[in-house]
Amino acid sequence: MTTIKQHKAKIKVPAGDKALTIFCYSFVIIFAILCLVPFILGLSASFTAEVALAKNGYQFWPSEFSTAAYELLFKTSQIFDSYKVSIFVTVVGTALSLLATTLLAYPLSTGKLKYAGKLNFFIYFTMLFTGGLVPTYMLVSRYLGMKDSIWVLIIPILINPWNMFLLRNFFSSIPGSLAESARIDGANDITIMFRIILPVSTPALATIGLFYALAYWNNWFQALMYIDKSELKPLQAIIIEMLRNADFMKQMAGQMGVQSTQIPSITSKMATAMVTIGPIVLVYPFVQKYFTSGIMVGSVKG
Amino acid sequence: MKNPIKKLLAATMTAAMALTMTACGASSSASTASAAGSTAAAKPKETTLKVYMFNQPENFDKVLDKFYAETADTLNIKLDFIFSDASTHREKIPLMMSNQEDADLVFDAYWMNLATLQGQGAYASLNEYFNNDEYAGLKSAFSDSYLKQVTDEDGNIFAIPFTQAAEDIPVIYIRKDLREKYGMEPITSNDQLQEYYDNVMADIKAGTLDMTAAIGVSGTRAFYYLDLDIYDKRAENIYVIDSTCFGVGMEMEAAISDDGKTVLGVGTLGDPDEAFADFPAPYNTNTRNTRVVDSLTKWGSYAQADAQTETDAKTNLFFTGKVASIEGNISNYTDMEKAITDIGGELECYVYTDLMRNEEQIVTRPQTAWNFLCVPIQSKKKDQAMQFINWLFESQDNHDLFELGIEGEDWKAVGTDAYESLTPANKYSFPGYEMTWNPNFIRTNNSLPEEAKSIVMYQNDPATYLDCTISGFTFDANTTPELKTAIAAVQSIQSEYQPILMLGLKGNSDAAKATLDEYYTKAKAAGLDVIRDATKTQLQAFLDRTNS
Repeated sequence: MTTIKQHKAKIKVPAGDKALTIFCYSFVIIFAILCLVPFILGLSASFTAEVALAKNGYQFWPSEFSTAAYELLFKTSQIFDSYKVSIFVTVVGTALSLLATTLLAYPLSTGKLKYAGKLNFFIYFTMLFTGGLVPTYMLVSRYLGMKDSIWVLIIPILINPWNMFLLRNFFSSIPGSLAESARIDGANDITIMFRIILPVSTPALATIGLFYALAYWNNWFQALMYIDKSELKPLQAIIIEMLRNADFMKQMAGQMGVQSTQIPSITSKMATAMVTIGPIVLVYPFVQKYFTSGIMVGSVKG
Repeated sequence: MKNPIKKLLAATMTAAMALTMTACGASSSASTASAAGSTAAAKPKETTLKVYMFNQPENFDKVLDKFYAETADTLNIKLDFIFSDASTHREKIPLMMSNQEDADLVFDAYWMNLATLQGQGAYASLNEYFNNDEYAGLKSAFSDSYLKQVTDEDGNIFAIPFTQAAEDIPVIYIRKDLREKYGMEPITSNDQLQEYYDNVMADIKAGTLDMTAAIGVSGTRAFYYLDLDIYDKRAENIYVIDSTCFGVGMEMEAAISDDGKTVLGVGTLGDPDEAFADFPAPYNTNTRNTRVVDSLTKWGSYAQADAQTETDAKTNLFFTGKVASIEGNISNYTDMEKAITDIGGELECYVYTDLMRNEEQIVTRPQTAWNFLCVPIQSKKKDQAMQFINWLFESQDNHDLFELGIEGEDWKAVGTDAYESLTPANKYSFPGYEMTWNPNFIRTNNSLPEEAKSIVMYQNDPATYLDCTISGFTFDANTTPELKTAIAAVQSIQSEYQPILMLGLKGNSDAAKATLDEYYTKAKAAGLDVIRDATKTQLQAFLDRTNS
C-alpha cells in the first residue's frame, strides 16, 4: 500500500494583508462591543433601584439590584395579552403581506400584464402622496368599519409599495427561460409562480419577510388610532402609551395642577425596552443568511 | 252587569285605563330615571356609556363593580372607559368628532382641543342639567359662578369643569435637618431662603456636604412663581392670560380698569416699560424683565450647573440628596416627605408667595379649572351621561368611591373632610382631575403633618378666594390664520429661550439682559404684537359682553 502524503501548499500571507485582517477584525469586534454597550447599560439599569440609578448613574452592573421595574410591568395581565396580539399580528401579518406583495409583484414583473405601467404608477403614487390623517381615519373606521378589530393592525398596511417594487425587481432578474420552460410543460401562471419562481426567490422573500415582520412588530400607530379595547392593543402601543404618559406628566404636571412626583421611572422604561426587543431579536438569526444575500440581490447576479 | 255590550264596554274601559296607567307609569319611571335616577322607580334599561380619557387608573374594575352593584336598580349604567395616553387622546378626539363616532363623555381641556372643538360646535349644551332640581348632585356641586368659566357667549354650558381648590399652593421644599444644622429658624422670607442657600453652597464648596447645588431646577417649570408678582397684581385687576399656553413668566398680562369695563393695556416679557404705562402703580413698569435680569439670575446661581441639559426630573435630584431644595406644590407633600425620610433627611416647606404665606385672600385666575368633561353633540345618551355625573356628586360616598376607591380597603374616613390612605395589594388610583375633582368634595390627607395640613386647609377653604373680574375669559387662538401662525411661531421661540431665561443661568445680569433682548427681538418679528392685539381685542369684547 502506498501512502499518499498530501502536502498542503502553504501560501505566504503578506504582512500587510495580515495587518489589514487584524485591523478589520479588531475594528469589527470593537464596533460590535460598542453596539452592545448601550444594550448592557439598559439591561443593567432595568435591574437597578430607581434611587440608585438617579444617584450613581448608568453602570455595567446594577449598583443596587431591584426587580421593581419588571414587577411594575408585569403586575397586570395587559402585557401578556399584548404579547399575544403582537405575535399574532406579526406572524399572520407577515404571511399575508408576503402573499399579497408576491401576488402583486409577480404579474408586474412579467412584462406581459396589460396596464402594468399604469398600475406601477398607481402604486408608486402612494409612496409620494397620502390622503392625510383625517380621510384615512374616516376610511378605515367609518367606511371599512375596522375600528376595534385586530385586522386593522394588518389590512391597512398589508402592502408596502417599496417592498413590492423590491420584489418585482427581484422577479424581473430571474431568467425568463425558467418560466418559459415551465409553460412549455403546460404550467399556468399560478403554478409557475408558486412552483418555479417562489422557490428560487427565498432570499428576497426572507428579506422582505423580515422587513414586514419588523414593521408589524414595531407598529403602534394603527393601534393608538383605531383600537380602544385594551385587550387588542399590541405591545408597542402599550409601551408608547406608558412612555408618552411619563413625558406628559413631566411637561404638564405643573401647568395642570396634578402631582409631578409620581412620574413613571427611568428603570421601567429600560425594562420595557428589554421586554420588547426580546422576541424579535430571535428572528434575526433565522433569516440572517437570507437577509445578507437578499441585500445583494439586484446588484450582483449569479 | 248582565248586558254583554255593557260587559264589553266595561272590559274595554278597564283595559284602556290599565293601558293609560301603564303608559303613565312608564313615562313617570322614564322621567325619574332621566332625572337623578336615585329615587325608587322601575329599573331603567341598561345603558353603556363610552367615556374617553387618558392615563390608565389602577385596579379600576373593583370600583366599577361596586358602582354597578350599587346602582343596578337606579341608574343601571355600564361604563366603558377608554384610556389612552394624553398625546394620542389629543390627536384622536378631533378625528372622532369629525367622524361623528360613538362617544358619550370625552375629556378635553384648553391645553388639548377644547377651544377648537367647542368653537366647531362639537360639544352639546348642558344647560338643562345644571341648576335643575332634578339633578340635585350637579346643582349642589356646580355653582353658577363656577360654571361661568364654561359658559359661552350664547349662554351655553359646554363642559363640566373639574378642579379642587382654585390654587395648588406653590412652595419650596427644603431639608429641615440642614436648616437646623445651620442654626436657622424656620424660613419665613426670601432673604432667609437665600441665607439657607448660602449656607448650603458654602458647605458644598468646603466639601463638607455631598451635594451638587442648593436648589434643583429642570424643565420648563424652572423657578415657577418665585418672585413673580402675579397674585399681587390680580388684586389690582391685572391678569395673566394663560390660555395662550405660553410658558410661565412669558405670558401676556392685561390690566383692566377698576370699573371692569376697559382693557387698559397688555404687556409681556421683554416689552419696554412704556407698554405698562397705563397699568396701575406700582405695576406701571415691566416687572417681568427685572425678574429675569436680576431676581432669576440671583436664584439661578444656587441651581445646579447643568440645569439646562438636566434629564433627571428635579424631584429625583432632591430625592437622592443631590440638592437641598426644590420648588413644587403643596399637593406633593406626602411623596416628598416619604422620599426625604427614606434618605435619612427631614422635610419642610416654605410658601414663597407673600399673600399665601400670610394666608390672605387671593383673587382667582380667569380659568380656575384646567380639566373638563364634555358630551359630544352626536351622543345619544346625553341624559344618562349627565345622570352618571349627577350621581357622582350626589353624595360624598359616591364621589369618594371614584376618587379614593373602596372605603375600608383603599382608604379610611377621618371625620367628614379628611381621609387616611390604606395600602392594599390592589390599591386603587384614579386621575381625579379628569372626572372627580370638585371644590365641594375635598377630603384632606390626614397623614399630612400640621405644617402642610394648615396650608392645605387654607388652600381648600372657599373663603380664601375672591372672584376674578374676567372669570370665564378664554383666549381663542384660532380666530384668524395670522394669529394661529403667530402663536405657533412665538411658542417655538419661547421654547428655545425659556430654559435659558427662566432657569436664571446666565450668571450675570448683563448676559441675562442681552439674552432677553435677543428673545424679544425674535418674538416681535414672529408676531408677538399680533397676539397682543388679539388679546386686547378679545378681552375687550368679553368685557363689553359681560357688562352689557
